[in-house]
Amino acid sequence: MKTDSIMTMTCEINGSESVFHIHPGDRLLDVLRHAGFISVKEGCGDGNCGACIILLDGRPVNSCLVPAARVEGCAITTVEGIGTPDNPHPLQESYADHGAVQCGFCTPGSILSSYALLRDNPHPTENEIKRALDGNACRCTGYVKKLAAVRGARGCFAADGANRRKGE
Amino acid sequence: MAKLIPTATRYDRPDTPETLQRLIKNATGKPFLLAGGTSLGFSRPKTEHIIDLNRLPFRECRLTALHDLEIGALTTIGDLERHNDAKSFCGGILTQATDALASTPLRNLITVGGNLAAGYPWCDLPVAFLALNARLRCFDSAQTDCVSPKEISLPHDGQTTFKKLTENQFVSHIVLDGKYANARGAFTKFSRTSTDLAIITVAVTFIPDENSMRSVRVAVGGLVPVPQRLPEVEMMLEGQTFKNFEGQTFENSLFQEAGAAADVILRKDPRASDDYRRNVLKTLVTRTCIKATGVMANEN
Repeated sequence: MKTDSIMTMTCEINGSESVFHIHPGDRLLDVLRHAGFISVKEGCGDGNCGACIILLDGRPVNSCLVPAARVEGCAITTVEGIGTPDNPHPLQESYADHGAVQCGFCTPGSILSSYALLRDNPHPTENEIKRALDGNACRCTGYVKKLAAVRGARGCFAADGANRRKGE
Repeated sequence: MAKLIPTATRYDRPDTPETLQRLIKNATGKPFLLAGGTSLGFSRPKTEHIIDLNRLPFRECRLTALHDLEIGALTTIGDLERHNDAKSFCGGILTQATDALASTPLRNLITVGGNLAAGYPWCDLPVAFLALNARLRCFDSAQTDCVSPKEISLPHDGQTTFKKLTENQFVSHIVLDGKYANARGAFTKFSRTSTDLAIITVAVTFIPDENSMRSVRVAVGGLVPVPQRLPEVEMMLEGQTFKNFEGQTFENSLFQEAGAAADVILRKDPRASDDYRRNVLKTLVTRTCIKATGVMANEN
């Protein structure tokens, strides 16, 4: 409980514990961006476009609608946490290989939605892929290449949920 | 930084109903009760005090010995759609309803209780709950003791709003009638796009008795201020036989007549005219009845 206007919030971001001093009404989206996780984008700001999607305790959610104070003690994953330019996740490679990236603004959110899908369901059907991406709007690449990218990454998680890199 | 609730100066996360009651009782001004929080996308409440309900122990979903399905009010729509007991309840009507609701990331935020208590006309689950003879397990915010929460039936006369229900009562669980666990049910949503708010929703349930339909419940939402049942349609279907019904056709006069009898007093909706919605409602009632009986028809 906190009665003044600044409160401390602790959560785990991409596997590391982080402590923030926030206002009770702050959005998680802003707190993350301010902390340097700039893969989290602001699009519509009202939960429709999916540019701000992060994984909250493993589930994709729109961070523009989540008060930062709500994630006390939770685990957050952003795209920075699943791969790097030098060591991308197989799913990220698949997005690149299939040309599923154009302006790139929606890409982090789309990748995280795809990531959550493939982690829980390594071999999804076409409809399951479409459904998993139903909260990610794209206004340049479109959706066909993204669907192909997710199809191409099927099986990128091993049975135990661990990432399976190329050649493994 | 932008704020969801710019005026907020205090944030509490009660983990027991008693703490919640105490916080509300001692609050100065009206606190904002945060569940899924997705309404913050279009409403920016002017409150100083946020009470986050998400630590309350109302997240579980389970079948009781009486086959009632108890759904914790803070269960997310995403968790409900992944729950095996919910998937198989009443012919999968809950899965059909959660399928129709918003997008994947929003379903991971929206709570079942929030969808019910928000009282927005387009909320999908209350329509299914009405058709499933749901009861609400509530505790009263004015009391300090919530050891014995009350169970109340959902209002079905269209006069009592869900919003009004929650002004001084908190829903901890939604309890779906075990009588309908193995019954037939179907849910249909009509909207402009798959993630748009509902223009019309229809839910139909009935208990198959030999080849007759018993305990028929037909509920509609979206085009009315609060979900309501259609007693005329229910009476028309009650006890009717569907033995010879060939599924997947609109030629069946029983369901054509049931659809034709569907009528309600409409709320305003800029997306569709009154005449159009009345016509679509009739078709949807017919189709949803057919969908509910479909499996049974094939079995016969």
